[in-house]
Amino acid sequence: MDSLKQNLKEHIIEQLNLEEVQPADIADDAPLFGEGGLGLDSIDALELIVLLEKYYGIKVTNPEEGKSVFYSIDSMADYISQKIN
Amino acid sequence: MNLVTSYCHISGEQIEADGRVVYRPSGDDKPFLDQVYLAAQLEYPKYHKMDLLSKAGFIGSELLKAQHGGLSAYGDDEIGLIFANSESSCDTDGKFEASYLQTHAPSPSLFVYTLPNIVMGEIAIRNKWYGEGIFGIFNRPDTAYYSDSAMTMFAKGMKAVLGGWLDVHNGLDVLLFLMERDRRRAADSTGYPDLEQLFENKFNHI
Repeated sequence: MDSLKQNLKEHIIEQLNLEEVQPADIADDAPLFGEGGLGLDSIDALELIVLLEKYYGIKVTNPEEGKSVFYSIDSMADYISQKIN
Repeated sequence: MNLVTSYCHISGEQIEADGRVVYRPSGDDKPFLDQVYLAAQLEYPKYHKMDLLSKAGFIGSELLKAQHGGLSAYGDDEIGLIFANSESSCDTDGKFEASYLQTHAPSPSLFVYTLPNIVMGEIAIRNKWYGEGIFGIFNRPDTAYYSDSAMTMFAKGMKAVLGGWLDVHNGLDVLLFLMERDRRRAADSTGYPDLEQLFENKFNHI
């Protein structure tokens, strides 16, 4: 699970062009959107959807899932694990 | 009277502000604009997400603000934007098309930059400017477009206008300049270029 989270952070940094951010800067449980976390925006949310498909072969088809899936690295890793296994 | 009170010209070889060279590329592998972003300590992470057109407008406007030094005295709805270029957003359009053809997963963040006026939005967001804006597409720079549009904006209450010509697709050729309603240079200001001279000197387009 730890390697998945590390992998995920590296993909997010690359996909979202977060050039001033290192994987270690992203806490596993910190919110990805809004204040107190990475401060991602709505376009970044679309990039995360593309990222899941591109690197993990997972299509997010239910928009209702987005808010909980993309809340944090923890929630994204849980979602990926469920879908892959 | 000379409408231009400050200017910044960006090419691949240097950045010049009010007649003074302020940056030249280092031997670094980073693109020139990214080098300037770091050297000028601009600290605006969203810069890294911008397309080349927006990066050029952002860097130019930041350097122009620093050069001028007094833009913060204007109200947030007193600064207008009058931009133009000859190639619209074709640099990013091509990258978006390539991302679609190569990966079949086109990048949403590239897609949002497939309009040229997004650069004005980026500058407005950065500065919290709420004045009017206009972006024209012309084969060649048209000084009357800038001066006439500036006069219209001044008549409607704006006190300063940031003008820009931003071509980036075949190398950087970017000129940003400031025009102010209540602050003009005398026509005979020694050696300071007016609008036509600026474009003649920098582009030889007119």
